Amino acid sequence: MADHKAQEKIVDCLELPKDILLGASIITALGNRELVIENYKGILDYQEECILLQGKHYRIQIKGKRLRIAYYTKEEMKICGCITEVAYQ
Amino acid sequence: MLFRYLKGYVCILVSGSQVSRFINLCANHHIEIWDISIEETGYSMKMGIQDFFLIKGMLKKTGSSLKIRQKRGFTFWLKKQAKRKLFLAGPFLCLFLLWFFSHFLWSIDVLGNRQITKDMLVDFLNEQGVHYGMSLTEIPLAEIKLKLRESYEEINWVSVSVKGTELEIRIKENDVWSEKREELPGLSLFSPVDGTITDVLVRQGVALVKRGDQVKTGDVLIEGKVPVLDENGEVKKIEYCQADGDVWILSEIPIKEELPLLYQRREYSGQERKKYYLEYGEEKWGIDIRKPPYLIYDIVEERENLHLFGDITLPLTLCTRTYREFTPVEARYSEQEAKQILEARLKKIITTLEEKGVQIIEKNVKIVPNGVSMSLQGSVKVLIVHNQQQLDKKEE
Repeated sequence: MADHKAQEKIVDCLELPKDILLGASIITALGNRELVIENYKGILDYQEECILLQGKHYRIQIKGKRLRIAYYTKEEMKICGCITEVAYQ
Repeated sequence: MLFRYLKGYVCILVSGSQVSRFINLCANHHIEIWDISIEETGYSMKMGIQDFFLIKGMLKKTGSSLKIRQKRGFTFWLKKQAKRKLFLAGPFLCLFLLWFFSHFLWSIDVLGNRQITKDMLVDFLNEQGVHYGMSLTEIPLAEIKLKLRESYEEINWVSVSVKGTELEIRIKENDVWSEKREELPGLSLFSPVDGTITDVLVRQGVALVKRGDQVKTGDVLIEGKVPVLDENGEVKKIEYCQADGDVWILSEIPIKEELPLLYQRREYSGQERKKYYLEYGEEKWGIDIRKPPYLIYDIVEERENLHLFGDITLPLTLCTRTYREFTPVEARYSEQEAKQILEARLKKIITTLEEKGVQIIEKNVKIVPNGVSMSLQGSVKVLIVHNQQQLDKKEE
């Protein structure tokens, strides 16, 4: 954990890109209709009401209704539908 | 979106237990997929055709089965269109025809012509063997130039060139005004009216009248004879010339116009019927042999020669016949109306005189009712300047 904290501080001070160095996923939300997610490892599960993604250090769970994936590539993906919850596990 | 369509894509249905893993594998292999959604039987998604052929291994790995739902793309569309051969041949045929017909003559343009009309020239060209629709390479340009100069004296300069599918003929004509007319020996100036001479100015010839003389129509005013005297003052010989000079004559022109008060007028009911027909030489198509629609009517016929490309006259004429119904009405001019009409006529007469260069000195015209008509009676005192130019003007 100390490692992480130090790492974070260094990255913060030097203003280096966090997503690359810390492995953080970037989530851009457009209302509750669209989510664009970058920097992840892969999909763990995809259901109509719940999508589970694997990030570098944690998992991202997106809950909603009629969720569909507009596009899915290695770098970026977009989820459309009625999103009710975004949770980190 | 456009690029996706151009490259072509498929809409597939993937079913199995590890579809999420399948999606991950696709991403790892740099295969782009989109529009992923869940259906009852599996996951439907879209991917490019190129990528589609690479996913066999992945499907096997994840134990998923595949079903193609739709094939969209330019290549698929082409295949479909290949069945409609004639439709595809259309544009090519059109272009070919365009190219083919551009080798022929379709238009003749004439520039710079004043006295010679375009119709005359086109007829002339037809005689020389040049007509619409002939091949451009067969047009004898040099010959046309030569023949035009030979046949028409008025043409000073000719230029004949082919511009696209048009034959352009530029000509320059002689200035007719500078042409000298043949001069007859000894033309004299005669009086056009009865009247009194107020002034004479002689430029050529000998004046036979002087101020104050009364002349009648046809009297000689200036004679075209110039006697040449020798040293003794006797007439050696007589030289004939064109009499020229200005003679001012004061004359009285009588004016009499009669306007009957009762007249027949056409009162149009406003009902019209138009009938069209095409005429080809002697034949007529479309003409109605039914009886005309009204009892009393007049016909206005418009004829239009049909053209192709605005230039080539087709031997077809479009005729429009308008039948206008009217009732003949016996009408009567009121005094006021009659006066107005007569005054207008008088004005016209005066304007005509003034245009000829006649000066109006005095007007003695009265409008007099004459039983069943009204008449314009009286005379107009005028001053006429008579000279050769007047006669020249008349001859034109």
